[in-house]
Amino acid sequence: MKKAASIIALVVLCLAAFDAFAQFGFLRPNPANQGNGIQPFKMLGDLGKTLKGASGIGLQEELTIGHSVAVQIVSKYGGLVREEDITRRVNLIGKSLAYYSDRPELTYRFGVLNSASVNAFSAPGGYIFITRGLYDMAQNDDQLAGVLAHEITHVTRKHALKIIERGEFFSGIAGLASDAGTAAGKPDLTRYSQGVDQITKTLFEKGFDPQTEYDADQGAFNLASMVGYAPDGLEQCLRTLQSQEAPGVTVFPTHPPLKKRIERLESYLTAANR
Amino acid sequence: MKRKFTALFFAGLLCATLGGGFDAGNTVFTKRYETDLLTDPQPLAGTVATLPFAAGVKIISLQGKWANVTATNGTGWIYLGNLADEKPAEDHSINGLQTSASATTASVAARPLDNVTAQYVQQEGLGQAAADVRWLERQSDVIGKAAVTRYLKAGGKGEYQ
Repeated sequence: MKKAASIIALVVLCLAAFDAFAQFGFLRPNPANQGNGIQPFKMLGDLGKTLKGASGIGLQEELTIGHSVAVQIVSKYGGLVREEDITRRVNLIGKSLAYYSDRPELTYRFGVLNSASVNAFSAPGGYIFITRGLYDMAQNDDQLAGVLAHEITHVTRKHALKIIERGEFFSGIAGLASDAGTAAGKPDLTRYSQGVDQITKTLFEKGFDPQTEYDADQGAFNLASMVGYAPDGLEQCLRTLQSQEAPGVTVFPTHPPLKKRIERLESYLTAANR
Repeated sequence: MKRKFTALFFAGLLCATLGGGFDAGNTVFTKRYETDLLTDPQPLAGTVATLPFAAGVKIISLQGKWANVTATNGTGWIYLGNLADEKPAEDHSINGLQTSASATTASVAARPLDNVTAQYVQQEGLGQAAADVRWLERQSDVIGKAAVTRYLKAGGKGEYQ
């Protein structure tokens, strides 16, 4: 009996550890999730269901959702900076990173938003934006690469798609999007809009949970290093931001505290230099 | 009982860390539609074989950011940035999108504002933002693989380090 209990405990621990490895945020009570019906420990129980959901949205659906989210981002942040030299620069840096990312076959687009605020966003499918404020603040290609690599990691690890996968009501998105454009298919636009709103609300207001952001930071560190940009480009950029934080004013309000992110990035660099 | 629980806990953690990675002896995977297995650890070396998407290769040894690997059809070198430590799961063909390297950029780049997004844009009154996104797509899509490769070579980045 004891032996059986031990085996069950081991299996549960293995599953928990596996899920933590895949996306630790699922297991952590997240203030951002309070009141929205998401129960982290129910997620553990629904591991199989979650994993199934992770593959439930195909590429075509991802591109469709991403396109709509990209339009919302551009609309919310003052439109796009239509300057060809700036757009070319961020695309060359971004595409040189994306080429070696875990999803190199996606078509990535990198744009600059006409906003003085300091922020960056990504939409599923490969649309990535930084604000003019952040573009101007980045002191070199290495810092820009660090920021873009962070956003690329959100795309490659499908962080935004996992938001809607967590919302049970949106499980039918694949069918909705794939039926679109056919005579028989009449997409439920209200439902679709709710799903897009769920992503944009997270991007603009709640932010990803801290572990997801740390995951993107670590992915950015690895990717930038692999491609040959300074491994501490993102860290440098965050330090510049930190120096501009005034008392009571939080830069990147939808992200974990800068201090914690910088500490973690430092630890990656220390480990890499050993 | 406490000791047993501690042992089980660390066994669980061990499961989490057995994720492979770029170490000798591990099996890793190609992540492009076509990946060249090279005779030497340099981008302009000769080609031993061309591997398909998600092909498993076993790492024999590492040299800087290059891995000496064995594949089903030979032994050679692959830049680590062209490998993934987890098997890529995507099957693009089921979506009716790109199924070959040559079709990748063209098919997706030419994709118009699809029906769902078009309706969404109209409903939300996002016409100007949608026009901005179309402008971005045009600007971005002219920077194809050749331009990125030139950029990597000129800057000594990626496999040209």
